[in-house]
Amino acid sequence: MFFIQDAIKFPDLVHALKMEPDRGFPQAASAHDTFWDFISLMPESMHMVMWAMSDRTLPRSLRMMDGFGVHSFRMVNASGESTFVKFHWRAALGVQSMVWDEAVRTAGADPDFHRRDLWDAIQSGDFPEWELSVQLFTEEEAQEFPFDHLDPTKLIPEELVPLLPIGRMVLDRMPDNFFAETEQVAFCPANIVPGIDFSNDPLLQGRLFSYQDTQLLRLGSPNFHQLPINLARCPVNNNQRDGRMQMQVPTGRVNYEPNSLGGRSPKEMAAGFRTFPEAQPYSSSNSKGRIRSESFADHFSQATMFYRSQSATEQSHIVSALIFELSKVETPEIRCRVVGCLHQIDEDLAVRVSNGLGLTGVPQTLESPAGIIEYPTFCSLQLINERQRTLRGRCVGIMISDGSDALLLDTVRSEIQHAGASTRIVAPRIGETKLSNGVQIVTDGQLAGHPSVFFDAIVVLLTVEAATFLTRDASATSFVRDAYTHLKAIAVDIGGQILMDAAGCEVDESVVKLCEADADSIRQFLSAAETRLWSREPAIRSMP
Amino acid sequence: MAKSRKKPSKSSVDGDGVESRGKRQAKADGTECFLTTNQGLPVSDNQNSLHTSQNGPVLLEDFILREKITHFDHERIPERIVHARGTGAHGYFELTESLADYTTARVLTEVGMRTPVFARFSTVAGGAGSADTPRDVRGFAVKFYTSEGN
Repeated sequence: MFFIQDAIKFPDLVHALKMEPDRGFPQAASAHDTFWDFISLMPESMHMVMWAMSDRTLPRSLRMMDGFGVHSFRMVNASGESTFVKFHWRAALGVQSMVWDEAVRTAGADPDFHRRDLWDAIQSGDFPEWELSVQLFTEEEAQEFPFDHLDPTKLIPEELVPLLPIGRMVLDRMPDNFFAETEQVAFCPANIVPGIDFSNDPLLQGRLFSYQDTQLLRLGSPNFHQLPINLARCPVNNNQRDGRMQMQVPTGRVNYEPNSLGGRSPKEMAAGFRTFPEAQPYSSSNSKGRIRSESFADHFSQATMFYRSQSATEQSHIVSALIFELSKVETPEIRCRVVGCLHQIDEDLAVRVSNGLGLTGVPQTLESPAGIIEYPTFCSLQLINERQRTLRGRCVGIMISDGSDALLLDTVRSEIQHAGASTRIVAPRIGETKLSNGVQIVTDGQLAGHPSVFFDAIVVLLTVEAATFLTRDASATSFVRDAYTHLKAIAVDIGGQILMDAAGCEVDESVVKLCEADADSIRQFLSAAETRLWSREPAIRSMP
Repeated sequence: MAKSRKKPSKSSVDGDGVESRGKRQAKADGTECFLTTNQGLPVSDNQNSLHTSQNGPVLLEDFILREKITHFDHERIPERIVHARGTGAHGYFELTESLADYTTARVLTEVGMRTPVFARFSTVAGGAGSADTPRDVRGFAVKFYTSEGN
């Protein structure tokens, strides 16, 4: 799913999104006038905007997000029969997101957070995995959908066409060289194999051209397919010759086809790729032209479907994101126009955003050009209730200092690791810390450099003396306060409780006291650490 | 992206019937201007690519789409290997004390003269999209547009 229906709008979308051309900012942010100006005038973007404002755009880890093929593609079997297909990658660890404040802080604390996470996971043998699923449907079935599957601003609800799992992808090796591989790799939706073909999605049609075109500039030569990372693993034979950075040394005098002089020159293969002989497209208009199909006219129904399918917490996050973004927009007319679009999606959404922006009066409302389709709400579009409860692939930060309880640390640590998560020991100083039993333990990180945004849950094990000292250290109180604000599970001993009190954190069901290494408390903490305590959120921020 | 130009009028056409360069630029003041291709062809539809039919594929014939997408695809140029992240501003340098005893450079000898400058401040290590605030050496570059050369 995407913002626009036709590739001809892509340069406009990206110009509006990227930093504004006169000032050179904001970098990597949609919260500015030009983006929302464009969006408010392109109501086809509204469904994607709902997704973009949801927690899905704040992934906790690259290992914990799903991927989609965006467009309908086509599969063609040995009998030449065609079936449409939508591709889905689904993360084995489930989809996990950050909360907004956490994402903002992480950008400063570790700008390489996702990159490092992927590196750490693969280097440690914890290989990320995704399930590949397909939605398969015929042209006849597609005609029964209440929307046009060729419109890239629409999704096909899995309740309408179920996902069929067909395999898994495991990433088990990092590149040897970032530039040679990650930087020079060239992807393109036109790179297919016999048995796969395209649809007439107007965004896909443009992308089939655009990727190769931009790679000619980026990689500087029509021979970029010869770079090791791009080189086909099967034979490549054709008469394409010369050009900058030519790595091949072709022999012989024949570089054309047909010919009678080249004995082994490449020939056409009957079983090679053949474009599916699609019949005349199903439509009332068969004349050539700059046409937007009438079946693309409904811009709001799926945005409504998405918004109304969300849990109350997720709806609140979308409202907050819209208020944040639009509060960064300096032109009042643009803010009003976006709220006008929101009215078409959901009245409650529009009113909440309008209130959050301090808008008075009824904002301008755009007329939806097509009849509204009433979709049911789909739980599969939620993240919070659908999220897997697991600690696998997650990381728990344990704060200690000199004199921390050795037995408790050992027990908690092994239980966390047993549940599938990793642990990192954080202390006021890097190097060795002396535990209660006199054993010196090597810590993984220094407190100021390892804020709790790096972790999915935290444990704080401190002596009363150490805790009292650390109440005057902002990095220690922030460690606890941020974990609390980001709705994470927190386990504390007596010293940890002192730090909690100093940080102004109240005890709730995801704050677990570990007075001794008793199994029940630890189990309670592990269970709480599998998710965030969403019910804490109203206690730490205003929910618009 | 295709440039916009003012609606052709007598005043914007020179003696040879060719529009002057300045008149071809988009107008920021809201003056009405029209979308054209890079060859100056007025564009009537910037919303839809050229299809064989409704719900049909897009045609290679669509030179307007190809020009727009090709120009977009080729927008970026290689970034500086160091000092990639920077921001600059125009201004002037005004001499307050003459160094005529030591140099003949006019920029340093004509007290009160304002020389146009362009200054650029930068970090060293990060790419063009990196943050402004890492611990890093800063670049502080000033170009003087003097009457004797830059």
